Amino acid sequence: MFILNKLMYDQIHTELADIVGSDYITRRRVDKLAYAVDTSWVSQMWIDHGQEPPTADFILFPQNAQEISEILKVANTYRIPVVPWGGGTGSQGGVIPIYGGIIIDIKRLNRIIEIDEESLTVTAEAGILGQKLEWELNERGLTLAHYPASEYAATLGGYIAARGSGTLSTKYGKAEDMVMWVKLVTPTGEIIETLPVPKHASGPGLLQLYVGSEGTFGVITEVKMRVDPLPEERLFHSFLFEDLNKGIEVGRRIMAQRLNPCVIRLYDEVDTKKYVKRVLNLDVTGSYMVIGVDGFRELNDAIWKKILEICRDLGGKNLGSEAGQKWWEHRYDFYFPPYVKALPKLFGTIETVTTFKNIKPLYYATKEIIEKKYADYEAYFFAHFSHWYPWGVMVYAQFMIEDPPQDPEQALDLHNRIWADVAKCFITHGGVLNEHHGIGLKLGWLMRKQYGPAWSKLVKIKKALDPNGIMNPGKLGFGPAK
Amino acid sequence: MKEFERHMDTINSCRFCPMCRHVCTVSEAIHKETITPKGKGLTLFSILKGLQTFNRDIAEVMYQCVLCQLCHEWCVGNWNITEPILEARRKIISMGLEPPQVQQIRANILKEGNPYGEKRSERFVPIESPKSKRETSFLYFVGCGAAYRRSEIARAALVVLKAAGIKYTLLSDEECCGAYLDVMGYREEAQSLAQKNVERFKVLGCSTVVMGCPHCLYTVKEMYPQWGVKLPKGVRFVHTTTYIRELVKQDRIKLKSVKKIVTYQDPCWLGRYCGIYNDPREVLVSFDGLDFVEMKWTREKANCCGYGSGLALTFPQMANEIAIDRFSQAKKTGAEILITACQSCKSAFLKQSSIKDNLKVMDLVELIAENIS
Repeated sequence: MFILNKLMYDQIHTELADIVGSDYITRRRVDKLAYAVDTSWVSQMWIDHGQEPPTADFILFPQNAQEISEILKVANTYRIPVVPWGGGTGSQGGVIPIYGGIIIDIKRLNRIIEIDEESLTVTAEAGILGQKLEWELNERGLTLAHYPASEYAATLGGYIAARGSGTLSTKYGKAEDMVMWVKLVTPTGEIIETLPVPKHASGPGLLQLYVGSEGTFGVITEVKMRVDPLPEERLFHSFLFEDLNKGIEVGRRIMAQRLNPCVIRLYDEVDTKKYVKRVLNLDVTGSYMVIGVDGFRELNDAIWKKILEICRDLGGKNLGSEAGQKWWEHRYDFYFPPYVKALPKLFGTIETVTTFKNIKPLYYATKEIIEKKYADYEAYFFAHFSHWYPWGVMVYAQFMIEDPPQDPEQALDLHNRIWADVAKCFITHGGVLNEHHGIGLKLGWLMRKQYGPAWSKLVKIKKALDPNGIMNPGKLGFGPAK
Repeated sequence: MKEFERHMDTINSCRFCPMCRHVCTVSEAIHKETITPKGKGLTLFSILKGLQTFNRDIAEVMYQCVLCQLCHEWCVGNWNITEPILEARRKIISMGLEPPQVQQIRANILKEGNPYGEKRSERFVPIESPKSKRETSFLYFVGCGAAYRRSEIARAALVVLKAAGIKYTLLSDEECCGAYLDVMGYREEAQSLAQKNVERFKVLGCSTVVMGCPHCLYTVKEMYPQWGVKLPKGVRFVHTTTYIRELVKQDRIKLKSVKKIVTYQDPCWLGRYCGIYNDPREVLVSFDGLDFVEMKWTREKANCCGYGSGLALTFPQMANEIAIDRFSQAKKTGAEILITACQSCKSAFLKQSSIKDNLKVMDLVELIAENIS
């Protein structure tokens, strides 16, 4: 809890209730605990062991930017930490209220303001659920084409704040590529907007300053995104390659020739054995790949011809289209219990992105850390490569320890050591701390190492925007509220 | 807390999982994490871990669920959070922590035989006297919703039965089926009502019991046996839409042409609970000239109206928020008539509709009663 005495606790409650109305503020224990857990392993493990989690003092449900502005002014007056909460689906502990204070749940801001079918854009409030927005767009033959596994529960604002990525990002881009404009409430309570279009020569990019800020630079309230027409056709083919290196080369050539697939998903040998067995009931050895192409049928046919040539040249065995289609239709199934990774196992998605030149050394170095340094815990490592760029690829690696220490502090220590080793390995091999899950609490302490001398510039920007340090303190590597 | 042992797999699965957030009826109305299936699972888990104890705040959370089971329908893992929620309600009742409006529902049912608190003397009275029990083996079980709130549905049902030449009887001392008592957590009182009702069925000696209320149908057919209350042998319990479909197929009712655009709301308790989706549709497409258009979300994935399972009585504001959303989906179809097959659904939509909407709300039996040739 942030508020240290009952008098101030009640005083501040009065002021906040006056802003949002007494029906839209809570300090009930039952609500505080519901807002203490996101999808991070640490927050779940902690409560699973019956440990008291960090909780907010107040949870508020404002209905517009004006109310949020007034909340932040109160927060600044009393130096109260504020955490914006969208869907709570982040895996990095980014919304855990580690310093107590106020959680602002933005989901009452959920209107679609405009779908501009001429310009192919949508403007919506930041609290709208991703799936709800997608359904509305689909009714008009449009799509956001942003398909993260959190789509059912994450919000549009969260997509932007976390720099999220969806399954078809290889063609359609990440959320940061789709966003055109935001309206937000700054940490000091001003309501501002970025320029109406993202491409300009009007100075440095204010929009991208806020993208990926994970609630530390303010509260995003409205977003305009580029949308796309639903494709005439979307087809998938899957292939089996002799080994991962062949698969990476296939992906690289496809990207280098600018064939613009909507998805390439390449599984390493370990994941191939597990995944293909589970989904296709085939016992195969090698490296499995799903490739998707969408758009106009005529153009797709030509693209497929080129892709099939590349796959053939590198010895790929064509497994047909059924498996890929099945993957697409069931792509979120493995996030439902009992299929999702779950406690009491210790696991993490250790992902990063780097150039094609660096990806193999990075991958093998990371694999070695998990399998050798943590061999005593029987840690194992598996990966797929799922977000491809003209210059490189993201490796979505995972580690798993089936039987971690039962003591929560020991488990936490082990978890943090693995992440520290892996993150440093990424940085050493030309990668970044994270490609699309964000930094949050988990990786914040490594931001200084990642950015080197440039880190002080980010810290100064944070200080300038948020002089009292109230916005999501302790996340992204920024310190506590003053 | 032994009673939660059989729910541990569900609680452990739901407590951290947000994958049904987008279809949770109540949380889409008021957007609170706490009342999502994840929030409820996490709350129950944290109680079992000793991080909090049942109290009135938690009780309120557990009653903020319309039991529509849309979460269960969407869940790839087939988890059903409504089961531990109902267990939690029974626990809350045993601890005397239930909200006052829940207590009031119980008091109303025990005193006046209906959850609304309407006087028994105000109960629906048919225009024509029903046949005595000696003359017929066909019982029309009215249900509280039609008896005390939507009597027009009961009247229409009787018109249809008469037109088909069905000699029916009614229970002059019809008791509540116990559905609301059970879902509120008063299992013992619900069982007691069940026993009384089954006794009446036995005394009546009916072979067919037609029910207009999906809550009644599911509770009698499925829950009474689970409560150890055996149904009389050889008695068929059936919903009006199913029975009427048979009448139409047998040509015992002839329908006039209806040149209207019509859409249909799948009631949660008729659809997801009783598994009845086709019967009402087959009846609707039997009307010549009727242009039937479906809403976007139908059948197993139909959105809830918000008024079922007692939510309209316990949290009316929440129920209305839900109804507004579903009604707007119906309007989007361009339909002139919104048909449903549940008294709660009709009440929900009537409250939202106004003349300018140009969308009339009717129960299926009313459409038939008005258009029998």
